Amino acid sequence: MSHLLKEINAYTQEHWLKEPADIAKMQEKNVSISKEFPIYIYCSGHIENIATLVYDFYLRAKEEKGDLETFKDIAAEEADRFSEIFGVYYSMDDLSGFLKKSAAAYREAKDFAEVRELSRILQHYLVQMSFWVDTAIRWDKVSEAFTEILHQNK
Amino acid sequence: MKTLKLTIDGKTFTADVFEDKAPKIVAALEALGKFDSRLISAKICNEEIYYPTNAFVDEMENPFYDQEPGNIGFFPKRQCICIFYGQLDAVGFCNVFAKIREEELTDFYQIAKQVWHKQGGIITTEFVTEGGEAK
Repeated sequence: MSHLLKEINAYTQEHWLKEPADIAKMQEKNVSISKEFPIYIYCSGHIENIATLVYDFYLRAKEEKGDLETFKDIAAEEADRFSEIFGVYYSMDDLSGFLKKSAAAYREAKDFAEVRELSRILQHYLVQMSFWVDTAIRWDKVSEAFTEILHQNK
Repeated sequence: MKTLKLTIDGKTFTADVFEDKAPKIVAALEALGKFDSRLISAKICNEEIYYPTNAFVDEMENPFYDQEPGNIGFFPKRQCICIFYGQLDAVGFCNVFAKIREEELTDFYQIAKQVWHKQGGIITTEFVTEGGEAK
């Protein structure tokens, strides 16, 4: 597990100011069919969801809430589920890969302390990725256009 | 006296630090030393900007729901620093650990407002002990 934590943390720091390749891959999705907007918005929603969920895992592991084996199983299943989403929907291979490896690490965790530490490092990376997805969206222009569309439909 | 220096687009702003009210947060942020991060605009609660940090403090210290312009808070769930600079419809508690000086708020407002139109600009953060060295 410690190798994975170092790997995730190193990636987070390497891409603190430098945009990860995953963002460009996400931006390429649906270009050919001119349906890019749902990719950005859905991706933003998914990354927010998993970041929030993993922070909850961190807090629960810190408090040692519930049965460890059930907890590990739920955390691993969620990490696997989101790994597939980010890989298939958005072609974000690095993100998908880290979640896949995290799912395996959750399953192998020996105690709450390992679940807590994995969740802390993984969540910090996910939050940073959520910021990168967020900055890829021109919220000012989208909001302006959306307001205009809403008014046209009234 | 400890202050917080925030630099955006070559302009530096000073904030008073409430070390007595949020000691763990101040210590965790100060331990990072001088660091750069990318600015993001709040989407729901109007005139707020925020940026990620490498600090991790999972406790609430000096939490406020309603914020005054100039308040600087740490949001544990996302390990980010939030700066409230104007009209705000608050959506949650944030741990206030510093405040931008009153006389600098007008200039800060002008810069912060632009983040909505251009996210991802660099902000530099450092703690300074007046009469001493920057950390």
